[in-house]
Amino acid sequence: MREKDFDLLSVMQGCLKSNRDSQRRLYEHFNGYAMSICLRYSKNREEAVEILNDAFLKVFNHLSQYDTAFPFKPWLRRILINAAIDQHRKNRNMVVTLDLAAAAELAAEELPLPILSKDEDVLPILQKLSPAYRVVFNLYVMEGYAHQEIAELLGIDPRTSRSNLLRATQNLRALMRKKSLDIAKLN
Amino acid sequence: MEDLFKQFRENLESRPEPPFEERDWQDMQARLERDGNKRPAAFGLWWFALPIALLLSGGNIFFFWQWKAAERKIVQVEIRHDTIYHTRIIHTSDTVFSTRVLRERVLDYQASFAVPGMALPTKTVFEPSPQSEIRTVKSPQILQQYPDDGQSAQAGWANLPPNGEKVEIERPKVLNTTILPIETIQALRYKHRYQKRPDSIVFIPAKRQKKALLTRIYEARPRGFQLGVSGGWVYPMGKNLDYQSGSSASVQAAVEFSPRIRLWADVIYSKTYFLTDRMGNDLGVPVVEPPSDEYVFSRAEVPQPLWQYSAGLQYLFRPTKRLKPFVGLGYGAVSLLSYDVTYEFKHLGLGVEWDYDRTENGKGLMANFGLFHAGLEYQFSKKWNAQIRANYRAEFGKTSSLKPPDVLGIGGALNYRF
Repeated sequence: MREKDFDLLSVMQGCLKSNRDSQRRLYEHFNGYAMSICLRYSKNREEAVEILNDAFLKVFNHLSQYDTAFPFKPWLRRILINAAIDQHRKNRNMVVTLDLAAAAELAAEELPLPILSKDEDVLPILQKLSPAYRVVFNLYVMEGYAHQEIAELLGIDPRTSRSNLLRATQNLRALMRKKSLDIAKLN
Repeated sequence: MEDLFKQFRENLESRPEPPFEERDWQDMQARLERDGNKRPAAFGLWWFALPIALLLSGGNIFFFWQWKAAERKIVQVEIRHDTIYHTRIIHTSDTVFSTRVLRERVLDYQASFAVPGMALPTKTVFEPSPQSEIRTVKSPQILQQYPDDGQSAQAGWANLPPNGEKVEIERPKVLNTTILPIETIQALRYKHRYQKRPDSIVFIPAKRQKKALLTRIYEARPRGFQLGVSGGWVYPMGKNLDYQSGSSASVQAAVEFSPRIRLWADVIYSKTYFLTDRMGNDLGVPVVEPPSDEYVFSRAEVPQPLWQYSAGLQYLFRPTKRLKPFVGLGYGAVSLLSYDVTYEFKHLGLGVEWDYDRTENGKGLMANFGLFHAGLEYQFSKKWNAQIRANYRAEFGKTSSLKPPDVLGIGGALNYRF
C-alpha cells in the first residue's frame, strides 16, 4: 500500500521540514536496497544497521544538497559507502576472530575453485573476511573503484589496497573450499 | 581471480533485499531525536573560539606596545652611553698627561721661557716628546690673547728649545684655562684617532667598575624577536624500518640575545609512515601475539602522528652577512596522537596472511628528546628571512615506554623579525 503511494518529491519535502512521518517513509522505502549494501560492508546485521542509520542520518541532514534532476539511488549509495568507510575507520582496532587457520590449510590443497549455485549465499563468506580485506574487496569488485581511488578513500597506500585485495581473494577461496567440504561432509 | 569476482558480484547483486524491520526504524528515530536536541557544533565552537581570539589579539597588541616602548627607551639609553664614553677618554688622557709631568719637573728646572706681565704663581713644565702636542699650541689664536698683541708671547715662543728638549714655563692663566685646552683637545683628538700616541704620555687606566647585577641583566636583554612558520619532510630513522616517509608543519619563535645567539622554541605537528618487520615499544609498535603458533609476524604498517614541543639555543655564524649558517641544540618533548598499527602475520606452511588492526591511544607528553639542527639562513630584507635546515631528533634517555623512532627532517622556514 505504502509502495504505491510513494512519491519521492513530496516525501523529500516532508523530510526537509523534519516531518517524522516523511522520514519514516523514505527510510522504509529504501531500507531493503540500503541494507543489502550495508550487509556487504559489515560482519553482521547489527553492524549493518549501524551503518544504515549513520547513512540515513546524513541523508536527512543533507537532503537539501540533493539535486532532484538526478536519480536518488546513486546518491544514497554514495552516502552508504561513505558511512561504511567511516565505520571501518572507527572499528579498525577490532580483532577479527575467524577460523582462518583452518581455512588456510585448505588453501594449500590445489583444489579447483568451487562453482557457486544461484541459491547459495556468499554474503556469510564475505562477512568472515577481516574488515580491511572486506572493504577493499567491496570497493573494488562491487563498486568498481580503482586501487588509487580506494587508497584515497581509505587513506592507505595503493600498494596496500592491491595486497589487501589479493589476500581477500586468497582467503575467500580458502573459505569457499572449506564451506563446500563442510557441505560435502554433511551430505 | 576474475571468475571469483564475477561469481561474487552476480551472487550479491541477485540476492533478495532484506525485509524492513520496525526496530531498525525505532533506533533511527531515537538517533534523529538525539540529533535534533543537539546544539550545532559550530555554535558551541564559536563560544569557545571567540574569547580565545579576543584574548590572543589583545595580548598581541599589549605585547607590541610594550615592546615598542621598551625599544624607544633602549635607544635613548644607548645614545647617552655613547656620549659619556667619548668625553671621558679625551678628558682623562689630556689632563693626566699634563698634570703628572708638570709637577715632577718643577724642582729641576728654572724658568727660561716666561711671558712678561703674565707670570702666575704656578710653574708649569712641559715635556714635549718628539711628536709633541705642545708644538701644536703655536698658533695665531694664542698670540692674540696677549695684552701686548702677542709680542711678548712671540718672544717667549722664539725661546723654545729645539725639538725633544724639556722646557719649563710659567703658565699664563689664559693659556691654561682658555686656549690651551681647546687647542690641545683638538690636537689630542686628532692624534688619538690618526697617529700613534707619544711614549711620554702617561696613561692612568680608568678604574674598572664592577658591574651591578641589574646592569648585567640589562646587558643580557633580548635584542630581537622573530616568529615564523616552517614545513618539510621527515624520515623515521632506525633499524628494521622500510618505506619511511612523512611530513611536518610548525610554528617557531626565536628571541635574539646577541647577533649570534638565539633562543628558539617551536611546536611541530608531524605525521610519519613506515613499515617494520620488528615489534617494539621503541618504534611505537607494541608486541602482539600471533593468532596461533603456525603464524609468524611478517610486518607492521605504522602511521604515526605526533606533536613535538622543543626549545634550545641557536648559534649563527657570519651574523653581519646576508647568508648565515647556523647550528642549534635543544631539548624536546613529544606527544603521540592516536594511531592505528596494522600487523600482518603469515602462516608458516601455507603463506596465507592474517592481519590485525590495533589502535594506540594518544600518549601523554614524553620528554628526554634531544634535538640538533643545522642550516642556512638568508636575510632578504630587514624584517624577513628564510631558512633551510636539517633536524635530527633522538631520545637520549632510553625508556621502555611506547615512543616514536628517531627522526631526520629536512625543511624550510620563513620568519618575520619584530
